[in-house]
Amino acid sequence: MDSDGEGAFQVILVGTGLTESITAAALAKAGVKVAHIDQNPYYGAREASLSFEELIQWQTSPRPGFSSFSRSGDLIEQPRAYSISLAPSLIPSNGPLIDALVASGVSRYGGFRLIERVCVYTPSGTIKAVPGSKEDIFKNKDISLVDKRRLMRFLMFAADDFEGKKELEGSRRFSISRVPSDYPTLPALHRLRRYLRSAGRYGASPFLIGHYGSAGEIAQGFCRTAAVSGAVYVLGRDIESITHSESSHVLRLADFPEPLSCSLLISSQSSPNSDASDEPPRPLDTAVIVFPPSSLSPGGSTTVSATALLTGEGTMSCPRGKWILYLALPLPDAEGSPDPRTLLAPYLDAVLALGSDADGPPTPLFSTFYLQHPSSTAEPTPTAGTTLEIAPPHIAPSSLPPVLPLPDMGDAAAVHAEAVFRAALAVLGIDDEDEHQDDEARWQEFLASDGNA
Amino acid sequence: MHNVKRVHLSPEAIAAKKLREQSKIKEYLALTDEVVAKKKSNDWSRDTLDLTTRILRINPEFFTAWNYRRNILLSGIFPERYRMTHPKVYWIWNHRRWCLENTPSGPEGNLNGWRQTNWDREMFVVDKMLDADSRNFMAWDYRRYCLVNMPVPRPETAELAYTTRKIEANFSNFSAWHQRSKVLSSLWASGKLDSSKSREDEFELVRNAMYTDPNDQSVWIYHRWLIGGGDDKAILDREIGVIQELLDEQSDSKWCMDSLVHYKRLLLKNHSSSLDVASLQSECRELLGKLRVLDPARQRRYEEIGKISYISVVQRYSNDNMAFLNVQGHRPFNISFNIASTLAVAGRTTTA
Amino acid sequence: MNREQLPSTLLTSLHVSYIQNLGKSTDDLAYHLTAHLRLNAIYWGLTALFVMGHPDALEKEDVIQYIQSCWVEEAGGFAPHPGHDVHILDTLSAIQILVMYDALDRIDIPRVVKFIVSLQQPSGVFAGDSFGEIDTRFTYIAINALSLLGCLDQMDRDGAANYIKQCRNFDGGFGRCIGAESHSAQVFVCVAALAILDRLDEVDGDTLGWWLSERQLPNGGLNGRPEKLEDVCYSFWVLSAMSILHKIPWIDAEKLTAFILSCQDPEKGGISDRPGNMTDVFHTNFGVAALSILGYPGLVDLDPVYCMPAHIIEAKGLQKGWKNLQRRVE
Repeated sequence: MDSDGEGAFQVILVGTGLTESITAAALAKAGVKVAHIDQNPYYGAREASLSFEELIQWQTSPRPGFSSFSRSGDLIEQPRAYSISLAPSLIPSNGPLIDALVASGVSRYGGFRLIERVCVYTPSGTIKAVPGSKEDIFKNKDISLVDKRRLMRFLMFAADDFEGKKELEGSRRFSISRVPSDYPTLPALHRLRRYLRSAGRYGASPFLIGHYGSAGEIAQGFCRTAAVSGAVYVLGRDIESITHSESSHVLRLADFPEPLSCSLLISSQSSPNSDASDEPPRPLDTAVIVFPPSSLSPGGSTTVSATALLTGEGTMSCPRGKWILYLALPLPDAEGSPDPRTLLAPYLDAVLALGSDADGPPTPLFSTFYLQHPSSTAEPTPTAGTTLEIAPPHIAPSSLPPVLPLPDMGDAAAVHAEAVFRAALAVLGIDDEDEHQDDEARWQEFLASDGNA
Repeated sequence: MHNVKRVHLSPEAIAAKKLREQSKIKEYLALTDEVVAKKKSNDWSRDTLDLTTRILRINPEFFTAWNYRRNILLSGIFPERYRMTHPKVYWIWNHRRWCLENTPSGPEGNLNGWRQTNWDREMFVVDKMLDADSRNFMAWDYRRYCLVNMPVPRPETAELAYTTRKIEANFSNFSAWHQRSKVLSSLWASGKLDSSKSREDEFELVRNAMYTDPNDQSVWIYHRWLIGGGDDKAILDREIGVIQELLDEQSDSKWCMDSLVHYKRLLLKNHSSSLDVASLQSECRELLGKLRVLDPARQRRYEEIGKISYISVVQRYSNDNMAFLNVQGHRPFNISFNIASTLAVAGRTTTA
Repeated sequence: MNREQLPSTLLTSLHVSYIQNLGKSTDDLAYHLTAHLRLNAIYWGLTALFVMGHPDALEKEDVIQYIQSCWVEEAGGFAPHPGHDVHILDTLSAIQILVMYDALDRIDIPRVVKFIVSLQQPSGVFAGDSFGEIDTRFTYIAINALSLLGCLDQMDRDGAANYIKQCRNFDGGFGRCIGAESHSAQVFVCVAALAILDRLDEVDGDTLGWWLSERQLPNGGLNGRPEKLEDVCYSFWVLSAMSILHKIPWIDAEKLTAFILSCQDPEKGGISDRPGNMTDVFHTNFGVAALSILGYPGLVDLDPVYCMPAHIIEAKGLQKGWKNLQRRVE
């Protein structure tokens, strides 16, 4: 494993989640001696992409942060042909994650495809495409001429730098249909702006999804980049102990001859967690369907939006003619322990009904439901944990946002990774003089290192 | 050079670049000399054809080599095909055209076989080029050329559908609107499409575009084509209403105002007998006044149009100047001053 | 790029040395790759030099001898470079340069006229060479060249005007051939050709003036077609036609002047298509030509019909009724 035979590293990262993997790649490229370990036999940690069998296995052993698992069975045909994401997510075509992917060259390790449609479910049981561009609005037959003008004007406003504009005053009066009514205006506008600015970069759709379950595969791509720059990888070993000497952390791994030591430890406290469920059908290959509050009755929520992400063969995450359907619904109040199956089943039925043919709606081959509990560590920035002089430094990356909204997780990981990377360089004392500028340069260097190769 | 960023190189970097280029220059000049020498000696061999391929890959603008190539081909060596890596080089389009025109007849019983295969492939290539750059006018010209000359013509309705797709993908694509105007003119002239019904569909299409983005001039230019000389008063009135409604919603729209002026002037020109000339005049004047402020770069044009409007009134009422003054009653003196200066300007314009 | 760093006055001496040095860059690959444009490039460079008041900046005798070396005896026209093929474009460039140098006696005029006239097609349009590519550009080139040679009567003028008329679109503009989209450069060649033929009655001045004035973008630059980007070369194409139609006041001359000046390379000289891009002699000439039409101080008047110094065209009795902006005094 360690060519020096000493097991001594500058940095050890625990967990191959997206944030850690991007950080590892950046540190390794900056010349830092890195070991990256994961107790799971697969990459991606909380954001992993699992085969069907791995998913069953994952559900069978206890998962802190998750509860109320239920599933329809343990068998499916071609179980290895599925890549089921623990963190189903989309990649906005403009944003920190895509920048990191393209500029670092990691995008070349994997395939991507555009989400074909983004739709809203209507109470009449049909779906309507969300117009995201001038051309969508031009072609739309449901919007009146005057509304076309008003909608365009609003979208132009939202796509622009609206901060400080007078229209924002008294902005509580704004009502944006896709978000709950008590949703604050400014974050909604930011979200909308990202949507609008992403459309058109790689095609009409603003969102990409990675092949083989997206986030997990992308994490693995960054790990591969880290390994090429000399990072050492150990997967599938439990951490038996972590001890701290005066200046270093020492990790002992199960069935591993030598302990590993480092001057900086980067690990989030909690173990893998996530949220996922799955199902098949429909003619589209990929789509997002948003169920606004009260759009589905009976059985649907009247207070929050549910989101469905459909991925098909084109995302390389399931066999031909099969689909994976992820459904997610935020729980506004943690009252008791609601049954996830009861909450999501109406949405599942509604999506399946959209794919009905002469024989009725398609039947799921397999389904599983569970609850994901909010992470207790929700601090927005990483903290260099030099609490006492004797304790060696430790950085805990902030936890990623929950699975909804779908486009948020990946970009947050890229932003967190940059923050962790900078904090790590500071702790390691790699840049003495103009700290900030140097970090910036190194991060840019990482981003640009082989993007054009 | 078009679209090439200026870079600032150090003297050392320039010297290094020149050094690197030395061998390339030598190689290129040797190749050029060889082509020129072989051409001089009327060498029309297969090897020489390959030689022209090599030099044109390096420099597709070297038209002499294209000419030479055509002479070699005329001497009897098989048709050719190219990848279009330089979509804006005139000579390549020109050469493709020449190849099409000089394709030999096919085997007996299928005289057009080879040609049709070639033409179909050309249409495929043009589609690809226009997917990559939907405004490439060489590709559009070539497309029109192919459509006219194909041995088995495509129905014009198919071309109309093609422009619909292009416009739906991006309605700022004036090239597609232009093509649409040509195809429709032809379909209407031949009676293959009912012109009054189809014109209504066009108004509907363009209306959706102008409400979606009133700043897009391609849409307004197309609308002006649809209106044409403004012979149909009902259409003029209706479209003026539609645009006025849009202007009410988007009060800063220059194109709404400019089009309203144009269409109101068409009303004055063609249908003045049944109109309240004075109020139309004053509406135009008001719009032109706003346009001068809104679009200062073109303010002189708006001023001149305003003056021309006066002139047309003067001509209409020339036998009864008092009637004119009554119509414009609120500020007669100022108006007559304007008329005088306008006539002076008009005199200069027409005699120049 | 920082606006304040962009030039705001014409850097004449830099441009003169830029043009003078063009012929000396034989150690530059680009020089050899553009051999097919050599005669055009000399015409562009020389015109710019004349307009900037430096008509003697190139070695006149060297240039004339180079032109003679481009003569293609079999065809009776000029190639862009020795060993290359004859083309109507290069033939016009040769004539224009020789007119500026008052050296038309150095070529066989009757043979050149015969070559040009032979390229007119039954439809009235001209081909570029014997391979038959047609374009209204070539019609203008033929008319320009023949009028400079005093032999306009040897071509079918009505046929040429009639073909151009058929290229007119509803927006008032003209395209490359019948059916083609209006394009500023084609508007220039068609309007200038009609001006030489005294057939401006075929132009709808108000409609075309409207279309041309809408070529100006908020940054002051002009584009070639609706919804396209600005480019210095369109400054000339558009202005030339507007000058012929007496419509230059319909755009903001001051903003256009500032845009062209911002496209200069303040270190090495030359003008580019847009600020910060690589310069070339083509854009340098059309930038300088446009500035002359706009009345920029210190420049020599340019004839927009021929894109040559106005006094030379006037001396030949060929001047038409165009109207540039009055030259400003510094």
